[in-house]
Amino acid sequence: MAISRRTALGVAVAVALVVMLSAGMIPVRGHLSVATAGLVLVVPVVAGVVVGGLTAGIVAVVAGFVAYDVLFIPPYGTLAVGRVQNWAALAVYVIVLVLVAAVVTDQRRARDAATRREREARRLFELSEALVADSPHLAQRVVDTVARTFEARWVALMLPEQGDLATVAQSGEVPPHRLASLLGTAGTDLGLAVPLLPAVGSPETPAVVALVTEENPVGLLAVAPAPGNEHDRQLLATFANQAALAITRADLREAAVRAERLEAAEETRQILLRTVSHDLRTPLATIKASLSELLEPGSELAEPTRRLLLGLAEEQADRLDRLVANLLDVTRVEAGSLAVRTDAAAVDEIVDEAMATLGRPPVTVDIAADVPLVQADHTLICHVLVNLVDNALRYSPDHVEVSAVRADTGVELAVTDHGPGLAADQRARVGAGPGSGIDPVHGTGGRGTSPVWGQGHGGLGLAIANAFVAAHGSRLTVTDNAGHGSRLAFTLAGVPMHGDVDRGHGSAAGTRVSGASGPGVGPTVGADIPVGPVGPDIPVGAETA
Amino acid sequence: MAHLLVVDDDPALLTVLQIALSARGDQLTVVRTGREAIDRLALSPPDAVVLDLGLPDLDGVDVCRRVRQWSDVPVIVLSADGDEQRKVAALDAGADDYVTKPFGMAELQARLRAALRHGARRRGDPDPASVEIGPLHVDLAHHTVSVDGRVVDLTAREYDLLAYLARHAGKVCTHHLILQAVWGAGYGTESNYLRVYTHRLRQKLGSAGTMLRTHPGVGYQLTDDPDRVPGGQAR
Repeated sequence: MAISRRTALGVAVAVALVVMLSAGMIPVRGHLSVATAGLVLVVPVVAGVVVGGLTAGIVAVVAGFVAYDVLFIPPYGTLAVGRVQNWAALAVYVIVLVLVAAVVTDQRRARDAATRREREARRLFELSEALVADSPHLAQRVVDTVARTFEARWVALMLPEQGDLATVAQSGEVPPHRLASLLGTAGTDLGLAVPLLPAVGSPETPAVVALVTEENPVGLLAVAPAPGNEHDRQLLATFANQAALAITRADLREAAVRAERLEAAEETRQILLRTVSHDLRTPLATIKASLSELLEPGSELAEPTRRLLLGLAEEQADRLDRLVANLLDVTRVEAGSLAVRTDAAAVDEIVDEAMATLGRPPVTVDIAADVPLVQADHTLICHVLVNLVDNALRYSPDHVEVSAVRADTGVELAVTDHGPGLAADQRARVGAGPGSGIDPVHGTGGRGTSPVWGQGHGGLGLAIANAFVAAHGSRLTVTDNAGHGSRLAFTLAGVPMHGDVDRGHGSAAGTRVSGASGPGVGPTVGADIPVGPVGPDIPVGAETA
Repeated sequence: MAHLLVVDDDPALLTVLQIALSARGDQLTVVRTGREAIDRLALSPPDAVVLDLGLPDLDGVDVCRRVRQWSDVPVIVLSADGDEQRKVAALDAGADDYVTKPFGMAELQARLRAALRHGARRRGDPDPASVEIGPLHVDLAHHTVSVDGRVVDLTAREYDLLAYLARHAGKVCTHHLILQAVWGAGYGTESNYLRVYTHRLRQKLGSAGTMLRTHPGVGYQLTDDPDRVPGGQAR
C-alpha cells in the first residue's frame, strides 16, 4: 500500500520531534521525574497525528514509547521497566496518546467531510443555477457548467433530433471517434443508454450519463475524463437529473409558445376569411340585385332608373376591384414580397391620386401650405388614403375631410368623418374609449389588431391601411370626435427642406415588409411567424434615404 | 301593397332594393341600424322585414330574438357570411326564412310573397284548428291528414312532425327546433332522425310531398310556394 504524502510527513515530524526532544532531555534526565519526560514526549505524538493522521500517530506513539522507555525510565538503555511506579507512568502515556490520536483523527475526518460536503453543495448550487435562468442557450450552459465544475477535458450533450441523436452542445475538443461511438451505441433508443460510469482508468474514457425524467430518456451527457471518485459521480448523476428536467421544461415551454402562435395565426386567418367573405359579398350583392332587376322579364323601369341601377352596379364593380387589389396586398404582405420604397413624395399629389381612384367623391381636402415633402412610399400611402376615405364615406357620405398639417416630425394626415353612427361603430370595433390608438400591428400574432378587423365594414381596408402605415414606422390612431364621427390619423416623416431633396431619389430603400422576422422587428414573441396582413412595424427613418 | 321594413347598412344595396321593391308597388321603409329597426317595428309594424345579419350596431340574430319577444311579423334574413351557423342561429331566434347574398331580385321577391302570405294567415288565426296548404289538409283538432280529400295514414311521430311544420308553414324550421318540439327537450342534434321521417312522410304524402322542402344543413320547411328553390342557395 502506498503511503500518502501526508502520512509520511506526519511520521517525519513525529520522529524528528521525538529525537530532538529526547536529545534535549538526556543531559538532564537525572533531574527530571519520569512523568515530566512522558509529558514532554506527548508533544511529538500529537503533532504527528495532526499533521499525518492516524497512521502517523501510531508510528509516533511507538517511537515515543521506545524513546520514553529506553531513555527516560530507569534502568536506562534497556526496555526493562524498573519500578511499579514507572510502569504506571508508561501505561498512562500510552493510553493518553492512543486516545488523543483517536480524537484528533475523528475530528480531522469530520472536518474533511464537512469541507467536501460544502464543496459539493457549492458545485451543485452552481450547476443548478445554470439551469434556473431560462436561456435559449440552455444546452451550452449545461455543458459549460459541467466542464468547469468537474474540470473535464471535454463534455458533450446529445439530444434526439428528428429521430437521431445529435450533439447539441459541447465544450472542449471532443475526439470525433468518441462521439461517433457514443452516437452509434445509443442509436435512436435512448432507453438503452443506462447510466454508464466506467471505473477509473484511462483519462480518455468518458463517463456517459443518461438524462432521464420520469422514466423518459431525454438525452445523453458525456464527460471526459470520468469523475475519479464516488462523490463526483453522484454529483454528476444528480446534476444530470436536474439538467434533464430543465431540458424537458424548456421543450414544453417552447411547444406551448408554438401552440399559442399557431392559435393566434389561425385566429387571424379565421378573421381574415370572415372579413374577406363579407367584404367581397357586399358589393356583389348590389351588383347581382341591380342586374337581376334590370333583367326581370316585363320590368317597366324608367330610363333614369335603369341608368341608376347600371351606375350602381358599375360603382360596386369598382369597389370589388379595389377589394381584390387589397386582398392581393394582404397576400403580398404575408408572403413578404411587398417592398416599401420610400422616396420624397408630395402629399398633395398622393391625396389627388387617391381621390381620382375613388372617382372624386365629395370630400373636403385641406392641405396646409407649409407641408413639406414626406419620406414615404407613394403607392402604399395612396392605398392607405383610399381605404380610409372609402371607409369613412360609408358612414357619412357627405361629410368626409382629408387634411394634412405640419407635425413636429413631419406631416400628419387625417381622415375625418361626421357620420352619426360612426363613433359608436368605431368604438365597438377598436374596443376602447375616445382617443385610443389602433395598435400599430407589432406582429404580435395579430391578436392585438383583431378589433380593427372585426365584423365591421371595410375591415379589410382598415387592416391594410394599418399594415401599410406600420410599414412606414408610424401608427394609425383613431380618435372619437365627441360622438360625431371619427378621425383616423397617421404621421409621415418629412424630408428636410434645406437638404438635398434629390438625394432621396434613386436610392429607394428596399425595406421589406414581411410577416417573417425582418429588420426593426421588436423583441416580441411571435415576431417570426407570418400572421396575416399585419406586418411588423419597420421604421423607415431618414437614414434610409 | 305591402309595407316592408328593410334593414341593411350598405347604402348601394338599399338603393337597389328600394327601386326594385317599389317598382312592384310595395311601400318601403329603409333603416341602417338594428336599433332603428327595432324602433320602427314598435312604432309602425310592417307586413314583413328584410334584415341583414351583419349590422354595425347590433347582431342581426339579436334583433331577431328581440323582435320575436313581441311580434309575429315575418322576418327574412340576408346573410352575407355564407356562414351556415349564423343563418341557423337567426332561424332558431325566430327568423322565418333566409336569402344568401348575393341574390337575384326574383328570389327575394318570391320569398317575400311567401312570407307575406303565411304572415297574413298567422295573423288571421294564431291558433287554428286545421291548416290548409295547397292540396294538404292537416286537422290539428282530430289529428288527421288528407291530401286532395284522401286520408293519409301516418304514425304518431310522423303526424307530430307534419303538424309542427304545418303550424309553422312557410317558416324554415331548423333541425334543432323540430327535434326539440317533436322528440322532446332532450333532443336537438339527431338530424338523422329527421332525414328518415321526412323521407317516409314524402312517400306517404305522394304529390303533396314536394311541399316538404329540405334546406341542407339548416332544416325543413312546409310551403306551397311554387317558385321556391329548395335550399335557396344561389350557388
